[in-house]
Amino acid sequence: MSAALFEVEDLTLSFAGVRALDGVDFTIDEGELFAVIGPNGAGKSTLFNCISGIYRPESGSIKFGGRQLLGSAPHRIASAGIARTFQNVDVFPAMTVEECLLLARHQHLRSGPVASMVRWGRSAREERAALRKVTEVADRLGLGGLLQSTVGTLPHGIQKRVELARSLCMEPRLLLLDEPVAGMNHEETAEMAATLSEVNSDLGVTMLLVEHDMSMVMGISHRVCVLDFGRRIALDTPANVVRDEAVIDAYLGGAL
Amino acid sequence: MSVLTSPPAPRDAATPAPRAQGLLTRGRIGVLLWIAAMVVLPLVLRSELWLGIGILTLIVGVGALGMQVITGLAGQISLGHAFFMGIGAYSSAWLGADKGLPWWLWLPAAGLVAATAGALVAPVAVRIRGLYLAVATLALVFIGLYAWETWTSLSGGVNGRPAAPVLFGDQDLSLGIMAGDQVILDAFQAWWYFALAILLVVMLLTHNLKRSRLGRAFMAVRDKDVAAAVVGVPVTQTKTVAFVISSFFAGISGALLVSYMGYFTPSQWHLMLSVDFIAMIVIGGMGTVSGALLGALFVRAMPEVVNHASGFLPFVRKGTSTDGGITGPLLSGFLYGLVIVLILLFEPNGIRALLLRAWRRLPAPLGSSRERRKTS
Repeated sequence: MSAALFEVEDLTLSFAGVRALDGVDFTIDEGELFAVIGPNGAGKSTLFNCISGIYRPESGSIKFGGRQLLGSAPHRIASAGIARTFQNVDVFPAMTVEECLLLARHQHLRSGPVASMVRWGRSAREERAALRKVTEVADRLGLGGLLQSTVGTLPHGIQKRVELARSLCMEPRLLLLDEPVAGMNHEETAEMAATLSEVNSDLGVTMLLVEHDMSMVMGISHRVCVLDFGRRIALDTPANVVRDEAVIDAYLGGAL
Repeated sequence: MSVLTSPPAPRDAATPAPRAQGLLTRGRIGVLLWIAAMVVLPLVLRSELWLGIGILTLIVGVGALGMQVITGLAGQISLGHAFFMGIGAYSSAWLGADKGLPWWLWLPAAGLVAATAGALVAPVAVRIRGLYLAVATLALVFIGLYAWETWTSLSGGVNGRPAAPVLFGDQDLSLGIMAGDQVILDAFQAWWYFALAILLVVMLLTHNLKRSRLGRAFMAVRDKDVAAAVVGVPVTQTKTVAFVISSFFAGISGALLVSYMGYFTPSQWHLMLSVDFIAMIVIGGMGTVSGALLGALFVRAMPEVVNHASGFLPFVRKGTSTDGGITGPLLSGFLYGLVIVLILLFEPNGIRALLLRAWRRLPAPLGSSRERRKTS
């Protein structure tokens, strides 16, 4: 295997004495679809918030392409090539789908204040190119007909899709997905799983996935890391994880 | 491959209709009609009172667009607009009247000085939000008032000072434009077209800004700043840029305002002026170009309309009164407050949204001329 794209080492963070993360470590290879699972409160979302710079861990290191990410502002982490989606969809309800996706092109566009207001020459060309890219991503995710719709008026499943499209428009090297199928019905879940697999294999986007839906995780991920009370209790292929004693005790129980 | 090639998400009842077309922002015909009306209006409107109000509305519209950038688009509630307008006014007067520079230098310079002031204030302002930001920017207004009153060599103290004239060659705009002995444009018409030209430029800039990389970043910061940062928008830097652009427009508006009036005093740059601007964008419609202009028209014209109508209303006196009766200005103050409350309660998207609704209900051919005119 090639060198790891993303390395998390000994990550620790407590909230009011509760260890949300306790010495978590794992590495993700380029092109991998890596899943983190665990019961409620296991520290999955905390892990995500540490990676995207919203929380600052007490100790440990997060390296992306060999670069230390700890201490960087969220927008710098984003421009380093890490995009994310949120557990409760975090879209901009007042924007149209098109605006929302164009927004994600922010770091790929260069127009400053004056160029933005004058919209001539390079800045106009840049906008047109961004629009092409956005249309392409929207078509790929089946949102092509909804570009002019206001995001807030769309059903939940579609909003999740918009959020995924938004993070893909950032052209990330690593995509963090926080429960991408939460609140979706069976059909929507299956569609989303297929989409994620395709994005991973066709576009080569490395993915870090946090999810509750076991069958979905086991179906599409290459490796699975299991957290319990902030500690890593297993890290293996899906087939081996489901047979792991500690995992069965802590989490799966009767779920499978 | 099924998902990637499958048709877009099901379009059933849950699929919303596309967004309505804006009056001024999207509808090209609307904009052209509006511009045509604005060009013809000073030629047919013979009332100096209404021409004056029209000119003030056009000038104040520039400032309202500045307010729209910082509050309507970027969501930062600033009460400092009067301060930045004052800076623009004094810079223009110093450069234009004291140093004798032409208007095409003092006008942009006034904007730039105000923008610089905005950039200096921004490092503090972008770190606080909501009410705290409102109070901090409120402090600016009072610091400004003190500065203008004390710095008498610049401001003339409480007595005020003359403003920079707008000269085209040797023709003063405030005296009208002549060709030989022939009057081409009288003073009102000349100022109207001058202010209209500047407003059109600022409208275009704001319109472009709104649908640019920066405009989207402004709206993202306004709606959800954490999510904005995660998609790669640098939040504090974006707010700073919003402050600078807004101050630039405020400076231009302040410079034009005093130049039109010819003479101005420090007390003009009071808190009430900032509040007027907030009222304009709230009443007109937040975050849109046409909303700012409708709001400017409402706030500028309503007192005069009421004062005019007070002659026909029972129990209302025209002008001022000392015996405690209801006067025109008093009534217009009440109505002003009432309209703000009604708009906040029933149509938070402002007059613009009301007009759009009315517009859609009207049969198309009937509405065109009447409704469009109202947007001026």
